[in-house]
Amino acid sequence: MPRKIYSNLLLVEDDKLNRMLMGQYLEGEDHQVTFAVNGREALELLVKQPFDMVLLDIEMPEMNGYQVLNHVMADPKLRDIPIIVTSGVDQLESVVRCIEMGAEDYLTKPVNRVLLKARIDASLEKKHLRDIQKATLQRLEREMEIARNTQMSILPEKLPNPIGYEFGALMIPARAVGGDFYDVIPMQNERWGILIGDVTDKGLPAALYMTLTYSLLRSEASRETAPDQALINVNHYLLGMNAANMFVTVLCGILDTKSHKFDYARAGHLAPVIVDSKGNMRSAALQQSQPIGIFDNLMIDRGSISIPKNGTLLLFSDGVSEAVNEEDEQFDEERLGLVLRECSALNPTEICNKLWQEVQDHGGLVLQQDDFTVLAIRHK
Amino acid sequence: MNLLTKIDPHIFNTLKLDFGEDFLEELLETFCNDSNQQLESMQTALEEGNAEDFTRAAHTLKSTSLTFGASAFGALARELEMLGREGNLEASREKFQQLYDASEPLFSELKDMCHASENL
Repeated sequence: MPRKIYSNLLLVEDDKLNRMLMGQYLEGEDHQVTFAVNGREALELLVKQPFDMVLLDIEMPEMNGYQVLNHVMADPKLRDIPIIVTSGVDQLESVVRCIEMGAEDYLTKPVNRVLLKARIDASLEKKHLRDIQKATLQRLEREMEIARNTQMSILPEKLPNPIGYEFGALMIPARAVGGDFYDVIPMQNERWGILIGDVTDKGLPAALYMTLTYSLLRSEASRETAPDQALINVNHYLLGMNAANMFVTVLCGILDTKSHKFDYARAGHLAPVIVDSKGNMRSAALQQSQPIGIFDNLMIDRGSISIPKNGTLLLFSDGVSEAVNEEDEQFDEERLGLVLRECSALNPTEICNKLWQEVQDHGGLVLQQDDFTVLAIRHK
Repeated sequence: MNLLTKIDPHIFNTLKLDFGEDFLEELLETFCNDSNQQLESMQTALEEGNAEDFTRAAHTLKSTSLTFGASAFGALARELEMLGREGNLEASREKFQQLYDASEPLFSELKDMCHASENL
């Protein structure tokens, strides 16, 4: 059985004797060797064929080793090929310079066969591992992209347009996939089920837990379950799931577009906020509550708010209120109040966009930590 | 003269073991021919006062002779390379002559070692 060709090497060496010698060694190790007698030829060959490694003589007439290195490092398609430079033993300064430029290792001439094999094997192994790593990362990114698209597709595509009301919403996940969710679900008698939630954790596990919770809540809404009972039911189900260390904060409620009241149940989530026609913000009164997915006897905060004419009901996640800047200051209630006051003339979608802009400005260079979600409902 | 033809047996025998006598002979053939060319180059360069060509030829001669274990010869070639780099061709004349005179005896010595049995 023929032995497998281990790798494609490019040997750049102007001296014939050295080419013969090293070529002999390398071919003895089952490498496929291509020879270049100078830098120019080396560069021509590099763009024509794929090589696993280059052995480069530093001192050659015409184009020398540095120039070859320069060209290779500047080319993104060639940059990852490991380069071992060869030189006389009195040229260590040049060697150091080459390594600073990006060469991976060096060999002194006359080349010792044992060292040649050792250095080449080491470099090839490293390259092999880097290639695997790169392929794995690319695959992961593709999978995350699919997960993100799947997740984004389950959120409401279009918000409803009931008479006398206008809806706006915006969700920006912190990572490729998020843990926040929201929905507006049609119910009987001109009422709408509104929900917003936030799963602890981020990334793929949170996204999966989020999808589950969200589906459970939706099915409760379709059965016209009262908000507090819905939370209790879903809590019960999640506890049966045994999902380690994950829980969800939820705010769900029913908006009655005839009575203009929003009756809600809150489990650990931020309380809703009302902005009146003049731009004054007020939060709903709070009573203690717990997130779902942890405790058997769930503590729920039940409340009811009226939405005044030309007023806006806002539900949001802590990606808004806890967004920090470089000084670690949160985007707190005061700031929120100011922004909402400025926005009071804008429509709900515009309000959501403006809020996102403000939160981003506030954060500055700090990377987004939490999913940002806002749901704005105006009583026209 | 004797000193300049000295060959490091360890280096040479390793080559012999790695490549076998036949390929080694081929290598030596190339070495001798190429070295003569380098020496001619150096001669011409000296006459023309061309330090660059002189240096380059000396450099190659140094590398290749060291490869075969001709340490003293290689060291002399290195000295000439250094002088060439400095542009000091005048000071090179005498040493170059020594190198030139040692070359043929060196080549003979190498060929003898190639054909000699290992247990000398």
